[in-house]
Amino acid sequence: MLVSSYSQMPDVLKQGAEAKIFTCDFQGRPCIVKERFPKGYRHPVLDRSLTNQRTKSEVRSMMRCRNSGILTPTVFFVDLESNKIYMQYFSNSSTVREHIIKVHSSTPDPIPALRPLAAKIGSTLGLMHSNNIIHGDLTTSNMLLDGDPDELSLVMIDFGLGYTESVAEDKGVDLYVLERALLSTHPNTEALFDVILQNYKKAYVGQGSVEVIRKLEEVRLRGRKRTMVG
Amino acid sequence: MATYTENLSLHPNHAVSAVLVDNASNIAELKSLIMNQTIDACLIRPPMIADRFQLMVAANRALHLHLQNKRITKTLHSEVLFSLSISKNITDCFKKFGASDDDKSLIILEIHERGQSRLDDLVLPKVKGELIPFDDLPKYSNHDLIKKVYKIKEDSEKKSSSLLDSVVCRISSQDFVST
Repeated sequence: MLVSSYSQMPDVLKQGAEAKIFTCDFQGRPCIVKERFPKGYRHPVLDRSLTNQRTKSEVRSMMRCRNSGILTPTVFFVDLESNKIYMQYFSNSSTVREHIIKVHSSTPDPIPALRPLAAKIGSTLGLMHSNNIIHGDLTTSNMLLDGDPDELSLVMIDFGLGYTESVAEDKGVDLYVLERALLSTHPNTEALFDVILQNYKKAYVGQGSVEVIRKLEEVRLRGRKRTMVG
Repeated sequence: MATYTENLSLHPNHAVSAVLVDNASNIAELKSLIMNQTIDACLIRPPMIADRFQLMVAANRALHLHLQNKRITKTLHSEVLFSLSISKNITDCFKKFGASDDDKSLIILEIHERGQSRLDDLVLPKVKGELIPFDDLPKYSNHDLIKKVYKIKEDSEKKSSSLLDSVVCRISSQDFVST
């Protein structure tokens, strides 16, 4: 029997330090494959185990989001041998980063135009965190707007560093990472981050958001890493 | 021709062929033919299937595990039933997804190397029942039953996903996500 898998040479879309991404077709649906390749600088046994765990935890985080009503790509197939995740490709989408840059270059007063988007981001993250899902790498590149940007169909992607944690510290750091990412890629967007926070608080189920915001303020003073003094 | 054929994306040298049968009167007989390996296919209950894509996802998974010698059940075709179900109990999977003797409708599905389907020649002559166009498959699906078996909670997930996509995610992540 001829065992030739993975048909034609794939089109590599992106390559990062952790994985490469290529596009293909999965039974008639546009698909991206995220492949975590072996890292030569790690001991092979450790590498296998780490890569395997990250592949699984990425899918787990996506599933938790989906169960809480947050849009994430549909997972078609997971190959734990070669650490590939086959998932839905949003071919007609732009990243929030691209969208903000576009609005900034085409609108004289971009902040009001971006308010609804910021509100949507805030409420999505509030919902995510109140379900104890930590994204781990919140940037405007890891959020997609599917279809018409005005419809605010916000899809969260790349849960490669995602995990489940209920303490406020990790949620505060998650928000801090987003704040830094937002302000460094899009200058003068402080007002937008305020809108994000307001809607975060509104969407957060229960009382936990007060504690998270307090942690965020603490993290702002010391940075992402905990101070290990004393 | 009522037989539906689609190549498998993960292993393009292989394909799935399937037929939809209604008013079937000899499911018990077909099952015994499968058990004594006269025919090679699996018999699936149409109410459990939301869309053909669900079948293709399960077939891809089953074939992949089969080619890697990692399948859990005895044959490639029983692995399709096992893949469809999120339960780890094989008997339970067969009961829920496999056609039972007193069912009226069924899907007969075969995974084969491309161009080598034996469904039309070997299997169909043995089937007593009415062949239905495969496009009618969604008319036979029971969404309430699917939600129950795949443990899909109505309210929150509906916002983020169609029923089919919820099902597909559960099939693909069943090894390591508990629902």
